[in-house]
Amino acid sequence: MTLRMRRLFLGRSAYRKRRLGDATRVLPVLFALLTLLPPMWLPQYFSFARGAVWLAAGWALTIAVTAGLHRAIARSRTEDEDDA
Amino acid sequence: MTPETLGAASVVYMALMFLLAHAADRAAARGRWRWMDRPVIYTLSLSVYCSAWTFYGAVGYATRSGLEFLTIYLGPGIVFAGAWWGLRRLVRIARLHRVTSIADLISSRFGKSAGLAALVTLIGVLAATPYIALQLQSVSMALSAFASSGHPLPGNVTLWVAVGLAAFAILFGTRNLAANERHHGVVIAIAVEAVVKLAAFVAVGAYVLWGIADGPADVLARIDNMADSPAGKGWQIRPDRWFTLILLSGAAVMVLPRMFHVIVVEASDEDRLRQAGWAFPAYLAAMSFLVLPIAVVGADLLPKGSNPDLYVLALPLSQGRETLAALVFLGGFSSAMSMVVVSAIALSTMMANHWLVPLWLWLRQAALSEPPQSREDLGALMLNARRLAIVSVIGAGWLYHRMTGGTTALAAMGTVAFSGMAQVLPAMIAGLIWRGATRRGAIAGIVAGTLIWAGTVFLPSLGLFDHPAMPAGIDPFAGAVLLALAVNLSLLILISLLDFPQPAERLQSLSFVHAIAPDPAASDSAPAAQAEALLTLAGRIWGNEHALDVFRKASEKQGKSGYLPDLTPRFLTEFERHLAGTVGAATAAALMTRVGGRGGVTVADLMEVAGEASRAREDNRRLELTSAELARTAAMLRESNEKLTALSAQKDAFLGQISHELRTPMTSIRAFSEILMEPELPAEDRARFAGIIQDEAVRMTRLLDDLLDLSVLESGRAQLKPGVINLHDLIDRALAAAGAVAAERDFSIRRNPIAEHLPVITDPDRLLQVLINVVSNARKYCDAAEPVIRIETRRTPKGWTEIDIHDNGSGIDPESRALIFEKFARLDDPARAGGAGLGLAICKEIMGFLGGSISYLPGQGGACFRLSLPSRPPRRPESPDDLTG
Repeated sequence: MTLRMRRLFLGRSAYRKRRLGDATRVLPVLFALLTLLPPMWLPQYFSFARGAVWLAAGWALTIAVTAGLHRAIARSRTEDEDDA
Repeated sequence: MTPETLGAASVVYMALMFLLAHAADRAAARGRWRWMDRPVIYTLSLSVYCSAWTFYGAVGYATRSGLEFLTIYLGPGIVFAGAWWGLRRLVRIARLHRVTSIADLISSRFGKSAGLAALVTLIGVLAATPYIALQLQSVSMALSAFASSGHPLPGNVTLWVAVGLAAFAILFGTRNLAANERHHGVVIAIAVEAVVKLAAFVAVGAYVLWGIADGPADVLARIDNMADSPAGKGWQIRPDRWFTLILLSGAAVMVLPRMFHVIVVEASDEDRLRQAGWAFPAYLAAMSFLVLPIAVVGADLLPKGSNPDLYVLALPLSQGRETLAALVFLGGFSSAMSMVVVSAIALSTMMANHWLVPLWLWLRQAALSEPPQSREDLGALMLNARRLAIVSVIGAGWLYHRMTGGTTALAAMGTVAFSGMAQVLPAMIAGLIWRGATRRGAIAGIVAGTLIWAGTVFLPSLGLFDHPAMPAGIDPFAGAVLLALAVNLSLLILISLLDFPQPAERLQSLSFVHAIAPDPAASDSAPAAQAEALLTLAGRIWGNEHALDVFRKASEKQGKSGYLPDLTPRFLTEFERHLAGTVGAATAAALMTRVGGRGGVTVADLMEVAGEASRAREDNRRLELTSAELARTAAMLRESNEKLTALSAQKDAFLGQISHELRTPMTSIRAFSEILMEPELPAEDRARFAGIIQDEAVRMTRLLDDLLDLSVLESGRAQLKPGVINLHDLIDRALAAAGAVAAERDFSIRRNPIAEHLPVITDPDRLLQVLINVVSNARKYCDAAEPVIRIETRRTPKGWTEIDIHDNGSGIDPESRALIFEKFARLDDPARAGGAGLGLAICKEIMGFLGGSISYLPGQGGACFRLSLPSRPPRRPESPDDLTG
């Protein structure tokens, strides 16, 4: 059962873990804005080579950040297994 | 390279995949699945998203519409960027409810509604037809690229491709009915195909990028040149389409039946999304950005009027790179094959579970809990239903291909499929985040959205209707899709707000939205179901072995021995979920009501769980944990107490019995020996009386031997004489020796001589003793008019040997089963048995002595004993005093 009283304050590692979780929620929103807004706003600028480079760079960055985040989450999970 | 050679190569390739999948399945069956169960395999299996559409269609799409083709990959990119938060939740909830498909997920969330499941299945099938047609068309198009101009391809190539893929899907998707719908062999094959298609695409992409063009800078320059060419008009991004297509592809990666299958159903845990979250988008990015050079260089170099969907093949062919083109063909074939196979498996599961089985249940009113009369078996029925479904899904794809004439641009067919399946998205998302979403709301939204989609997108794609007229400046496709989704979502919200759902639905919504395990229905007073009826039902669906295993574990958990657990609400709920893993939630609930007599959830049950009274529940839980431990101990104590009481009564009876057994021969021996003392007795009478004395003495000795044997075994002083023996020979000897028992009855013996040739390391004499005893018992007690004894042997994956001995009599009543292996126990009248009731007790001691066990299997439609032997007998310290010797 996961319905339980929430603790008011968390230790450093648990706090960090929560923020990592937050980051994974923000990331897709940022990436969506990055892919949707510029091409829809200024289609004439983003329809050709500039758009391809923009999307490629944006996507590559997102993939790298995702990989980093997931790695950090894995580390924090193995660390606080003791006090889980 | 001719189309014939390539056709032969694809058949060989398919055969190789078949062998690979077969080997993986075998390894998994032997418990060696773990080394294959890696996140990388999972990630690669997701690449089934990249079908022939990506391989051929994306280049055509890019040539016609520029960067718009990227939307198909950006949507999944966005979804996977949030994999740890969004998809992980989806996987967790689906695993919690043992969901078997997207239709099952939605039906399960909205109160296990069978109607909703059937509806989602219908959409899945409709949406899949253009998608499968796309794959078939791409393979025949690719083959035609290799045909020399004088020899066009025979017209029915597509049909043969369809037949081959259907055969592959049937061979792999429907070999057995897994309890969790996972197909290890297929997953491994898809993972390998993912590597093949990536390698092929990277090879051709790199060749075009550096071999034909002059590197990335040159390609970018060529892209910018497109702006000035006439084709460049199509390249201008249209904001409405851009948004709609990203939305659709993001939805598709979750709700397409095949994607749901590989992401959710085949996931062995949610943790692997950590790697897939970045590795799968990387795979997609690599595939999609290589499309651009092929598209622009193709448009520059190839003659006007050539089909841009085939640039990926035509470019290497035009440069005389036949081998590269052949590799590309195999990559394209891989992508079509994996898409069709996984789609067919996922859709056939949905069609069988949500259409055919409910129909069958409705048609058939016979009680499912009865042991099968004609060995007709539900599992086989389910498998045949799936085979039929696979054939019809692929057949429908082929039909769509025929109707559209096989000339449509590939990408256009793909977007039809995406927009259809996306109608399920609002219900799915709302179901996972909003407790207020109701079944009626979901049905209304899905039905309305699907009708609009069918009228404005699907039927026009078949040429049956005209595309709808949209106000100027709005793209007809984007307009139709956004309209359908908007109506869908609004109806879902509006009707849900007005609705008041059923209790069962509210329980499910709580469980889905908060990702907590479904609660056992609180007050299931005295369930009418007999555990044995449920066991029989489970056996008919999963096969006996698996069912017995599940029941044994459940009863162990309750602290009981044997195969029949108490029907607690907890056990019933777990059992239903386990069943849902095979037949879907709606069907499982229907089966439980039919067989288990488990009624629907009442409002009173809801009160128990509603309101998230978390503190009270937390305390409750803690108490429950301690009391569960106590209850287990109590159950164990109760069981042994019952056994002791019964035994004590039996022991008294037995002492009387044994005195009687010993006294009767004794009395006759005494009487006849007195007569023998008479001097003038005729010689023949003397001989006869001496014979009687002899027989009675033999009977007494046998009884004493049995008692002695038992005491030797029990005290652990018996000596093991291990040897290797062929089980077949041993069973032959046992049957011959037991043949004298009830020799006047005509028993038919069913055996499987081939399976019986198993070498066993054990004490052959002791095992023979057990076999003779069990077979004699079967002959003695089987009360069927046409008695049949069936012997089955097998080797388990752990190296144990199991021998099952069945008869078709009336079996042993549940109350007596706990006692049959105790000494002094004998059921019914002693005259029929003609022994002292030590036989099975001795068997039990011997099997324990050999390191194995003997047990009674309930629910087999007769008495059935299982002997289990380890791969080798346990080592014992040599006992110096050998009493038997």
